[in-house]
Order: sequence, then C-alpha cells, then structure tokens
Amino acid sequence: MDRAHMVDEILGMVAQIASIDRAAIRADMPLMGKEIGVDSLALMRLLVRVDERFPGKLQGKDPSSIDFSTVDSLVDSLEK
Amino acid sequence: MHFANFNELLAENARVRPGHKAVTFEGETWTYGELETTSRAIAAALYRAGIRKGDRVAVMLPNQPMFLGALFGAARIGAVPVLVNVFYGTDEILGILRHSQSKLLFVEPVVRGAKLQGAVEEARKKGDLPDLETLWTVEGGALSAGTPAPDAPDASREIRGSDLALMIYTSGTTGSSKGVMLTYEGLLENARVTAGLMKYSDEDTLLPALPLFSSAGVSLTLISMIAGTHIVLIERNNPQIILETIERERVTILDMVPSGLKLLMKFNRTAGHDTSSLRLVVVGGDSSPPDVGRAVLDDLKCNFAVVYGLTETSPVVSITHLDATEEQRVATVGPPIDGMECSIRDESGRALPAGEIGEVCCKGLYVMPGYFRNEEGTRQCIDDAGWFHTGDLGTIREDGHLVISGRKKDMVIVGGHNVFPAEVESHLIKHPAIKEVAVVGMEHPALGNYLVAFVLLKTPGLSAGDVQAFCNGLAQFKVPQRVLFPETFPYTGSGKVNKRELRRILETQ
Repeated sequence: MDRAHMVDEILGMVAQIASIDRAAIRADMPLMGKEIGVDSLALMRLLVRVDERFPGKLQGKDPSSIDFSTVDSLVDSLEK
Repeated sequence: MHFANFNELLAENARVRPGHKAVTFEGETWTYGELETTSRAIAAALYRAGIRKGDRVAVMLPNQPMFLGALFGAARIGAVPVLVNVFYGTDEILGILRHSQSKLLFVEPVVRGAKLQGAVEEARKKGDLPDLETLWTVEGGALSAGTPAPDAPDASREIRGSDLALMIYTSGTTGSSKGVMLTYEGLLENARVTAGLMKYSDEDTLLPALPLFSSAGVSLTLISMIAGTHIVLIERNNPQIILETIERERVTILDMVPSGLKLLMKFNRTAGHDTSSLRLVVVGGDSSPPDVGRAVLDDLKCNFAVVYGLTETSPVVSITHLDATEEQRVATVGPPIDGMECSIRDESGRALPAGEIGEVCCKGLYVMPGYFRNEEGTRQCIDDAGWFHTGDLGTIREDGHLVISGRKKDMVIVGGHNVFPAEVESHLIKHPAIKEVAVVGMEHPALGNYLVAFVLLKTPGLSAGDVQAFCNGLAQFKVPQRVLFPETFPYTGSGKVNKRELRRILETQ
C-alpha cells in the first residue's frame, strides 16, 4: 500500500473517531489541536485501529517513539 | 478559617471579596457576589419545586458556572446534590437516578442530547423513576426553571458538619455503581488542609482540567473557595484549549491526570504557548510515571505536586509538599495530610512496619460514612475498627511518604476514570452470542491505560465493532479499545480465567 492510501485511510479513521467531517481535516493538522481535538482515549482507539488495519506496522516499535502529533507524522513513524 | 457548610463558605467569600472573580467560562466571569446571588436564586427555585433538606437532587452538568450554582443552590436549602458523570451511558444514568431516589435532575441537553431526556421521560411514564418529579435543563447557561425573585429559607443554620453534603456514584465491581456519601466536615476540612499545603491564595487562578462532577473537581472547587481563588473552566480537555486558556487567563495552577499532562507537554513542544504564569502543576487520578514530573520541571519550569486520593476519602489522602525533593515528587505520593490516618495492613488486617508492602488503609474524619443504601458494600470496605480499605497496595517509607505500588482490586484507570473490568464483563456477557468474556487493562507508555476484551463466542460471526457497539449503554471510557477472539482461555487451578496470562500474551504480541 502506498503512503497516500495509508494517509487517506487513517484520516478516515480519525474523522470517524472524532465525529467530524472527513473533508474538513488534513494530514498535517495537529491531532490534538482544536480542529480535530482528539483526547488520549481517542488517540488510543486510533492506534488500536491502525494496528488492526496495518498489522505488523507497530510491532517491535517502542510505543513512546510513535509520533502521533499529526497523521503525517504517525505514518512516518509507521514507515520507519 | 473553618466553615460548617458550603453556604457559610460562599457567604463569607461574597462578604469579603464580592467583586473578586470566582469563575470564568468561555469569556464570561461570575464574581463571588454574583455566584452567591445565582445560588440563592437556584435555592429559591428548588424550594418552590418542593425540594427540602435531605432530598437528593441529581446534577449532571459538564464544567460550566451553572454546575457551581446548582451545587451551592442545593446545599443552601440542605438538599443533597448527587453528582452524575456526564460520560455515563443512559442505562447507567437511569440506574443512578433510581438508586439515589433523586427528586430532581439538572441536565444540559447539548451534552446529553434529547436521547437521555426522552429515556428519562419514558422511564417516568413506566413508573421506573417513582421519585423523580422534576427535570430542569440548562441551556446556554440559563436554567429552564427561570430565576425567581423570592429568596428561599436559608437552611444552613440547621446543617451540621456531620450531615450529608453530597453523593458521587463510582463504578462498582459487581456491575452497578455505588453512591459514595460525603459529609460537609469531611469535604471542607480535607479541602482546607490541602489548600494550606499548596498555598492557594486569592491571587491564584486555577484551571481544573478534569470534570467538576468528580471528587477531585469538588475538592478543587472547595479549595478555591476557601482561598478565594479564581477558577477558570473549560468544557473540553483538549491540549490546545488548555494551553490557550493558560496563556490568556494567566493561569497559576493546573490540575490534571498524568496521561493528559504528557500529551499537553508533547503538543506544546511544537505549539509553543506561553505557560510562564504557572507556579504549580498538580497531577492525580492515576499513578504518575517519573518522566512526567521531570518533564514538568524541565518543560514548564514550575513546581510539581502529586496527589493521591479516592472518592471515599473526600478525596485527598496524601500529597507531595511544595518543598519536597525531586526524588520524593517522582517516587512517592507524599505524606498523608493532617487528619488522615494511614496504615499499611496485610491480608489478616495486621499493621505492617515502614517499608513493607500491604493494603493502604485510611481512617478519620475524611472517610465516607458509607455507600448509600448499600450496607453490604460498606461492610466490605470499612472494617469494624473504622479502617477504610482502599484496595491499593503500597508502603509508607521511613520518611513518612506513601508509595503506591499497585492495586489489590482488579481496577483500571482509563483517562482518569475508574473502571472495574467485572462491570464491563457483566454487561458483555448479556450478548446472546457471547459465551465467556474477560476484560483486562493494558498500559500504553504514552497514553495511559486502555481496556482489552477477550471474547469466546457461542457461534462465530461477531466482529470487534459489534462487541464495541453492544457497549452503547456504557460510558465511552468503559468500551474496550481492543476486542480479541481467542479459541480458548487460559484458566487458573481454581478454574478462573487467568488474566495475568492474558496480559502476558498481549505483551508478547
């Protein structure tokens, strides 16, 4: 799967978890900023969904090294 | 200064500092004088609605000034506010309204939507809520009952310190919530001692980044009132909103759970908001990893305190002092506060010497008189000698500082909320396709704890999403973040599901 597809899928998950319009968010927006506004519980849900959708991508990584500031940085962490 | 009840406390503030800021929310500020006027009006409206001393009044409001109006208004006529978690599901809320025998409910439709209002009306029609007579909505900060002019009789002279001040429902191990009864003297003295230790003053501005309906929220409200501190409320604990509020309102004290604080500091490393007004950050509600304390000292460059408490103890048990060493702040939860007797006990109830690990037990004025209409539940946690068994494991060091090392009770703290896996399990097992279920808590290094449900099915076909959707009637924080379908469970010798083994399997995945 290419990066653009992965970003798009994760943005879809973010929109669903945060109950906001998919078209209103971009991959460079801060996940914890006001536009998206996810909290720790929602972030956890996102990581669990990412893990289920992209099995193995999070495996073996130090969880505290995953940068969930934005969807872009999250995908960077997954691809490292 | 000692106060016998909430009304005396508010009246003293209105007398000494009537024009001083009491609470600010979304750009609107109520002074102490205005807060007292509003609470008088609410007391009058409650009185007119037939509410009298001792009657329970359910308050289900998010953080906003009207929460304080309802709390102090009810207390003015001696009614007992029942604080309800706004994140609870409809079934849980109906259960609390029924069990507490609340006569009136304050609710904000924006938060709960018309669904809850409809469910309450339907339950009343069916006779399921025989005590609930009135439902008041709070919209845009205004009360549907209006603000009547005539004052209600001031019942505060009839209120004794040992009277019931309020009730808070907490998660229960057996699937239903327990109503913690708290007294005026317990809450007010606990707040007075804590305010003194943290040197709260009328020059401080506090941002409680936690719900006011929690015991910590009540405690912070009372601490602020005792010191004349200005409280700034926000509706959502979003990092950007918290940081903007700190910068705009020149907040001096921030109180929040450790996982939220970690996210906040991570966010601010790129956002760069001015947090120089902060003099103190207090964390509680969950164990604080050492890196949180160090990050506060390095990133926010202000003092840092760790508090340990439970709803049943009004709530503060211990807190690290402002002059504590860095080691004490990152490794302990401080010494027990004045008036709180603490003892570490073994399984047989024998007191253990300093340094030995056992169950943390508490005694004294701050300990609740019991759970409402639940003598059995009360007997299970308060022994004949009056010791409240917290269910937490810990030790008291030679220097008198308390260290929490784990939990005896099978409880998980998710986002600052207590969740008993047994409660989630007893809900999930009602699903017709589920044969057996085990819920465990797992820790994420950056985000805190989350729930994982292991589900054995009677027939295949159920998805993780289906299981999560079935939790619709529960609070969001009780919904397992992850659902797994193993072929079988590991069992202990006594035939119980071996949760330790389940956790080990997850950790090695």
